[in-house]
Amino acid sequence: MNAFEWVAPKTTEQVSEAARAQGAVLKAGGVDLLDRLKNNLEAPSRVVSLQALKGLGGIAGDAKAGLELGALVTLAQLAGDARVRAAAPKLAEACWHVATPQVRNMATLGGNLAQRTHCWYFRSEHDVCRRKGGSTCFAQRGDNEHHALFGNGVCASVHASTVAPMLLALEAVLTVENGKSSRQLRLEDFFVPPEKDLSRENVLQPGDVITRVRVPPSRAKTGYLKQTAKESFDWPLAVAAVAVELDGATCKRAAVVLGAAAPVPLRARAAEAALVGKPFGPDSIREAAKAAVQGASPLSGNGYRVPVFEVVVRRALEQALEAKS
Amino acid sequence: MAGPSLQHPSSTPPNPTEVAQLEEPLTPLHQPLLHESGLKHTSGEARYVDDLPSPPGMALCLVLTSPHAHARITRRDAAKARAVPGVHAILFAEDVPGLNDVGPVIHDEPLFAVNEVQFMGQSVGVVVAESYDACRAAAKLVEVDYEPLPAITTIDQAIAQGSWLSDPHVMKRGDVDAELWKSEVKLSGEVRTGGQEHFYLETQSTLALPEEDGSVRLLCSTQHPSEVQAIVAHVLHVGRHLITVEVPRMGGGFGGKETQAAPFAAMAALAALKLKRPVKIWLNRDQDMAQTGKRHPFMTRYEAGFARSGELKALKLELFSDGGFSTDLSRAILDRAMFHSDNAYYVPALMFTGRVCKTHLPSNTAFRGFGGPQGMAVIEAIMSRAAEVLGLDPAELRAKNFYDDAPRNVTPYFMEVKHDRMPRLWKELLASSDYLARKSAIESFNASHPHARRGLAITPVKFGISFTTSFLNQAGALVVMYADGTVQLNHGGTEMGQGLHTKMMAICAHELGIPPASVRAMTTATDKVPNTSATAASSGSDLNGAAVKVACETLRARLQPVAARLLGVPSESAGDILFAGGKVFLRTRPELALPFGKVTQEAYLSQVPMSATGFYKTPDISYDKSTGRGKPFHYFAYGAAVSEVELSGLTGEHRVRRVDILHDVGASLVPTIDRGQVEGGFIQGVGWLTCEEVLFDAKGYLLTHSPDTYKIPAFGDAPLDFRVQLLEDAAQPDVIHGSKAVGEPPLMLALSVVAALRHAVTAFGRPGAHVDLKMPCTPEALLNAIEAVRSV
Ligand SMILES: Cc1cc2nc3c(=O)[nH]c(=O)nc-3n(C[C@H](O)[C@H](O)[C@H](O)COP(=O)(O)OP(=O)(O)OC[C@H]3O[C@@H](n4cnc5c(N)ncnc54)[C@H](O)[C@@H]3O)c2cc1C
Repeated sequence: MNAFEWVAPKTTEQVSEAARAQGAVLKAGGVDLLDRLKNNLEAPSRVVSLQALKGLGGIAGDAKAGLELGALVTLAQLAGDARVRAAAPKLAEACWHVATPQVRNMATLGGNLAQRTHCWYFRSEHDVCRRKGGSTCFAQRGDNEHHALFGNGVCASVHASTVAPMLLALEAVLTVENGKSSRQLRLEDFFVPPEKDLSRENVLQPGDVITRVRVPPSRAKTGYLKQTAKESFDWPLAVAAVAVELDGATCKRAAVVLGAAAPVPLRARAAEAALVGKPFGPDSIREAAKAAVQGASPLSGNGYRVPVFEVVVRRALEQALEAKS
Repeated sequence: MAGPSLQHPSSTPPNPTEVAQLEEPLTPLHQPLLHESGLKHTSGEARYVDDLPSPPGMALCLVLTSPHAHARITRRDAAKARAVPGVHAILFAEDVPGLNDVGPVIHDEPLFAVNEVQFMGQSVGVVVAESYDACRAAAKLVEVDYEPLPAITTIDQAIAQGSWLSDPHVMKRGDVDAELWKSEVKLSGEVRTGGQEHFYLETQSTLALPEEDGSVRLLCSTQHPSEVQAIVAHVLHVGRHLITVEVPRMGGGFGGKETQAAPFAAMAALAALKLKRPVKIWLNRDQDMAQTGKRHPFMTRYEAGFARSGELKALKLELFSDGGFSTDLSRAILDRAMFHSDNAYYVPALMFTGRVCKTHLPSNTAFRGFGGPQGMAVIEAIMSRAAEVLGLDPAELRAKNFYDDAPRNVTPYFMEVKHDRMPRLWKELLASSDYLARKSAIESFNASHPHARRGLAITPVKFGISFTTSFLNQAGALVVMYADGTVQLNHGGTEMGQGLHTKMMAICAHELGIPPASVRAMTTATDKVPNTSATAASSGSDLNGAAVKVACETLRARLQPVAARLLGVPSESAGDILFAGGKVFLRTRPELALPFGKVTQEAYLSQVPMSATGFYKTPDISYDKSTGRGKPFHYFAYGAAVSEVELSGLTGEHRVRRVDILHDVGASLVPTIDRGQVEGGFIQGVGWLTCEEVLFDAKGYLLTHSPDTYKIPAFGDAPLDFRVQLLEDAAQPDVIHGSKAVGEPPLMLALSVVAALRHAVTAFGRPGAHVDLKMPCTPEALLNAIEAVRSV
């Protein structure tokens, strides 16, 4: 790790200003950032802490009004909060399934969404992969059992967040501030696939700070599943987050989102199409699960996860089917 | 003579049962005890090397490592780096006054690379500076030019290129080819087991303190203080008397600090002497994982001949281990793998050949089981496969092949199997685990469940106890009594959380008949007990315990005449004076007891020496590698486990539902400690076999260099229902207080989980389908195996 300047401004405006400088990075809980620094992936000249900001640590709202979540709320708080558990039980569950209690006590919502991929080649200072300005994606021909099944032609990393798929299914909207300006950004428009721009995983520009995450009120039935190799904490083999709105017994709107499947949290459009307009039940669920893995382009070592995804999507939809609402 | 007059006591030796009755409630031995540091571990008060207060002027180290798996060094220049403020020294091979080598057995491991680097992470030099910041700033400015060379990073490449670290080791009996040819059923294949990171909680660390006259005191986290002392002495080119190594305690070792603490200790010692200031070296997790060796991966080719009845007739094995770049302990580890390729089974005709491969990876080293697990994994895979192919119950097939009466009682290395506990243990465990009823319940579950299958398996463990390098089987102790009746206990073993000190204190307290609270186990130090062997090979209690006993016996014999005088007993009856419950008394007159402290006080006043050493060597063991014959072990430790798993055919996930273990620790010295060893060993084995995967990329870079990608089991992965029993009424003759070694054997009980997973996998296909289940049994491996049996 290099020596850097440390600042902890008290207002978002000052944060933006401090973070616009060349070589500055934001730090929330620091779980991801410190790993990157210690692994010599980057050497910022200035670290701008968000922890002195007031007002980004709150949870507000309810099932009726939707939830208003501060970007500095920790995953532990989200997992344990009664309002979140009532209004978005599967979001609480998704947060609970991240890592260990120690990590959840430090990790923030904003940091979770903006964290970098855990591709082991990306994380190795010895491998200058495409994302780091090199010309090779080592995972495409190397050890790739945890890598992307979809959209892996340029870079085979998977997005690290397992919370984002649930927030996407719930159509969350971010508030991003930069100095005096503030904008609303659908989470769906937040992630950037490698075909578009290899140098980034999201749209944040220097000085941009996620301040809030809004989860609109929803009548959707939801399901969430994170499949891991071990019973205790682990990174996922497959994640599925679903939200299904019904009109009587018919599916009116469906969101099926896959995590650990692609360089960005991935909406499985074909699966959604298989649900919408049909009675929501075992048949359409089976079809949707099949459709979810259509078009997968497995690499040499990760094909075993294609059927796993199918099952995980099916089970998440079955959870939604059984959910009260 | 002063004191009460007594009748003449009988001079026959005490009747053992009588003594046992007397001692029963009065001794800590064979009783549940808290780990001597358990509460301190939990509260954080226990101090490890890196927790010790920094002495004034202490400098820190950063190892300069190779970024290539294999390369020639063409240029080294540290001039710019030396100018960084706060930097005290940057040391390379040319700064070593003695031998630039840290190989424990064979000198093929340079402390600092000279012309060539042979793995990514190999030390080229060390930066010594005031702070880690200064270390890192300087490290960036050190210029080393490399000319990359082709690297060997797998066993297969090493075999293809004939890259070896040993000659073949051969064991044979009978005409194996003829017997194979005659066998009714012949199986052949390949079994691979992977590496395993030790993942001790405390990483490698040493604090070196220069003292007067060119001597150095090292506080070191090592399982082998005497070897650290010897290596540091030859690196520094001084006599061993100038080097003292002390081990306060370790936060785990598991074999990873048997030989591999020495290089880092040597760097700290070298720097401390050069700079004449204290120097500490400590690796962070990523550095530790990348720079040190792991469990040896093995690839074994087999041909096995069976009768249709399930009887094993002939076995031919070719074992290849990945030694990494240097020999380290690889040869002995390969030997032990071969010594355990029979596990608990009699093999009539056999030929085992083993060879260590040289690769451009960190030098693999000791790891709990020391090759035994790798050897046993092969024979257990063969037994499972035979049962699948022959359609026999795997438990029956295994039992049918157990060692038995002569001539079926001779191991592949011609050692007679005595005191065989397996038949009894197997029977008791089958009954207590309700094996048969559960097996049929599982069959109906499997017939009715749409996606999940359960598996149940019982596997045995027979593990040889002793260092296979015979002369290492020796130990010493130094017991020091003070006039007030308290005792300091020094022995050659090191405490790494396994509970050795607790056992040694119990033995010492038992022998002197005093409460454990009066005994203090001292920091292990080479100036107290010299020329010790590593605390390894599960031998810590057996060897050191016997030495402690001898020392205490000497002291007791010195105290007896003193007590006799105080008690007014004729001196010829002094031998009948007993020590128990903090009291000293004549066997026949326990009511006239003296406090132990009174006797020691009197001993001091009477000018009786109050300290004694004890020494023990294991009798009657030897092995001749050139003929493959001998008696390398003092005895065998036995155990068996029944594991039940549930496996999802959809996701490849599995859960260990229930585990029943019956393990033979003889007459347990401290049952709470032994139970901890059995549970921990089993879980560590489950980690190796199911979720821990060491992966290097083609360039020799360790992809799994942190807990982010390297997955050890956590509490949540423990069996849902975990039943551990110690075999009862099982005192072992000729071992300290009838006990048996326990450190390593339970790890191999985890092979029952693999056998149970195989059972579950077979249930997805047609009977007899060939199961090809790779280890570790990750969801990936399990799904591939399921798919293969389904598609038959
Ligand atoms: C053992 C382990 C297991 C894990 N398992 C999982 C898992 O299963 N699922 C999962 O989702 N994650 C997992 N994680 C990752 C962890 O959840 C993230 O590292 C954490 O959420 C990051 O949050 P943070 O507040 O610490 O972010 P930081 O490390 O402080 O920041 C991360 C990044 O986000 C940026 N950032 C932070 N806050 C903001 C903001 N408000 N606005 C703009 N940019 C911001 C920072 O500049 C930085 O680049 C695991 C981590 C560990 C160590």
